[in-house]
Amino acid sequence: MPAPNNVRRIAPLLEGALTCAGDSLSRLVSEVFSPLETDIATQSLAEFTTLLGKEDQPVVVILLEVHGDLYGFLAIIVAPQFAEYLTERLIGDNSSPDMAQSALGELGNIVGSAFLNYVADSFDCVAAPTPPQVVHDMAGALLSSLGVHVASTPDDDIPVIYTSFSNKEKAFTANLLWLPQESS
Amino acid sequence: MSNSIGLGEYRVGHPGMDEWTMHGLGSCIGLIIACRKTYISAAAHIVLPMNPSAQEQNSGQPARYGREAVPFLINEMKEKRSAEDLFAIMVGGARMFQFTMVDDIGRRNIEELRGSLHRAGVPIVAEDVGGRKGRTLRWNPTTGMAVVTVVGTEERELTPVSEQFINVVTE
Repeated sequence: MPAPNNVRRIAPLLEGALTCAGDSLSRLVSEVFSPLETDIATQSLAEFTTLLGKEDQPVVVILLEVHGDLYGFLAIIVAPQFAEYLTERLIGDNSSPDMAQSALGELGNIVGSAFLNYVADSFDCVAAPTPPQVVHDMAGALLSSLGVHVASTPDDDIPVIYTSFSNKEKAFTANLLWLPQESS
Repeated sequence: MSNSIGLGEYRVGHPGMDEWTMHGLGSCIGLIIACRKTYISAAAHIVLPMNPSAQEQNSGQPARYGREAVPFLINEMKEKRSAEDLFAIMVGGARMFQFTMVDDIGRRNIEELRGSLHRAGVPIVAEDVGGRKGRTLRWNPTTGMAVVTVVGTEERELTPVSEQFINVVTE
């Protein structure tokens, strides 16, 4: 069970899980998405809040809270234009905000489950994600709110497993964050 | 030019200084306290309602915590002979996500600051708090104008006309 202190020791396994998530995204949108970079690090709350660059840039976050033996938060973060593109690829229509929200939630379920199942199977443990929340807002507002919940105190470092995927033309990038927590 | 105030940071300043900005306020709160007599103002980017380490009365990072930030900022203003006839503006305290196992920190931040400002006798003349949207707050120490921006909407002026720094002669 990857508690924060053990994250570095299980780096190869996590990279396998992230690759699995990337493959899942590629299959879902029928377009190859390859990992650009993967980082396993601990970050201060201030660093975490600016992880994606400018704090007031708009982004779409698909968040899964994960319970069971494998406790933590999994977030898929994309630019709004990429969210629109994904929605079109998934349901062929962007006209209904509810449908778009639902489609992005389903994408979070499928890509997130690919990551979680890989890790859970490797440890023979249970990962039970909550239904996805899809939120469109400022990157800093979303990451700081998530970071404050994840860190026990604002001085704590936040363990972050981060990767980004991009399509061939590098026109679109999807960021995947796994924030492992100690089981309660 | 604009000066960013990061999580847990603060500023104290006077007319003539560059604008201050608190980007991407989610559950955090951007607090402004200003003096009607001297036009000295102070700002803090507050993260949590109080220091989670209950044993520590003084965290050493007073701008991070709502309970410590108000007396701390007033004390800083007192050193500039500007601790009378104050008013406050606060922005933020949203609930960006619904978590299953933790409190609504945004709401707790709002409640703590309202209580703390009330105890200090500082009226809140404008606020944009709560809800589900992130905000960016800009404060102009020269004009006394607070402006709030939400994704997908026009920016909005918060400071009531009666509280703006009119007729201030800058250095």
